[in-house]
Amino acid sequence: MTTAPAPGPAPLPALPTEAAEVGPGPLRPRRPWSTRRNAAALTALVLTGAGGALLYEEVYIHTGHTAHHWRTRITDALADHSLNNHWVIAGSAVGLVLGLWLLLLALTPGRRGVLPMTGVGTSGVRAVLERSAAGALLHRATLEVNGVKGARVKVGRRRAVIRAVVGFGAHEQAAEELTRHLSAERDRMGLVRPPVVKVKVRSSKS
Amino acid sequence: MRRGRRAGQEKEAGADMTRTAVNRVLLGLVGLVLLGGGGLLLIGGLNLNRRWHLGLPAHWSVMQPHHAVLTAAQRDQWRNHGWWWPTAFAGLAVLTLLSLWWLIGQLHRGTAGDLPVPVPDRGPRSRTLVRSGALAAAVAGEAEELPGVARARVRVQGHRRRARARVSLTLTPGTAPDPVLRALSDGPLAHIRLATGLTELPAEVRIRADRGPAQRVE
Repeated sequence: MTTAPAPGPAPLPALPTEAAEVGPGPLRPRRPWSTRRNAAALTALVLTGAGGALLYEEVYIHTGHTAHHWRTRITDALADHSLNNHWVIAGSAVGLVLGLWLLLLALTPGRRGVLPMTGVGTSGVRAVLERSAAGALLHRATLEVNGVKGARVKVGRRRAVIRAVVGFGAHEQAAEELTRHLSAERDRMGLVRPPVVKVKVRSSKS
Repeated sequence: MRRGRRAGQEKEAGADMTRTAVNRVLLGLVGLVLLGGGGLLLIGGLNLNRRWHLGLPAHWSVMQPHHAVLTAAQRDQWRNHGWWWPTAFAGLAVLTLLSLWWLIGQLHRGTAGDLPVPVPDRGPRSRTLVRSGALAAAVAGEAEELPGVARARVRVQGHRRRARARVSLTLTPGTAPDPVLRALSDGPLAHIRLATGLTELPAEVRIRADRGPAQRVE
């Protein structure tokens, strides 16, 4: 595990040579992996602080000083509490969960808020569309359909759920019309993995 | 300058890709240490070794629930050895410096400095440089002129030979993103590549939408 299977930053696959002749060509449309900047900065900050404090204290003691109060408190606590103490167990569990969380951060792509775009017809461009932007477009398109009074749109990474409120007419027809219209709208976005459009219709309470 | 386009493609993400790799490897390592340490203490505290027959060495002090986490004797056991202090100092110093380097690596935003621009009419020893900020401003200005684009923010990042543009476009309500992306590629990005000779300048584009007045999106 320490050799790290190099998750995100694996080199891009070689492009076909034909494409190489004509120009940069569209970059492989995939979701770029998050840099994990915040998590890294926070972890690094904690490590730097802890490492620095310990180093300082070791030097301090080694040069003939008596240990600081905070250090004796920590070492006393470690020596006085047995492993089956509630606090020790709780602390270990927190460490375990935190470790799992960091591993998860390290191994997953992140950037769940964006949808990669194909970028057909572009060169050297890697583009993503924010999910909220896709939602705004779908919401707007929903309101364009006849008889729709309001809608709630939720765009996930695999499916977009539209809850539309219609005022009159047959529900099934409205749902069909909405699905058709919204699917067309979705296809205009140029997404790599277009989310499946799911329409739920209910009538307004009047 | 160019050793084939493919090489240019592969280093397209440049410094940021390296940072991603470093961050993820180090986060994974810290995660493993925390996971292992927490797990071991938990196994000891809940006596899981005996209860679940995990087969871990029972004489380990961490496997005995009534044993202290770290006794004074355990803490001081190597204190009188000659190698202890140098090792402890070196280990802690390496850890601290590495963490500091890691931390500092997160701070800079990787904005490219001046970029060399090939000018054919001038001698081989002369160099023309263009400020990456000026480049970014040019792209942003032109991008904001595109129909449907409300705002454009551009940064040019990376090193001289592998600069890349980070573009953030905010579209006006109802604008389809795909045509705008194509227009951006054919217009501002193509122009800047042509004008600077940075033919491989890759771009990362993020498209967001302006919230219209009557939007209720969740």
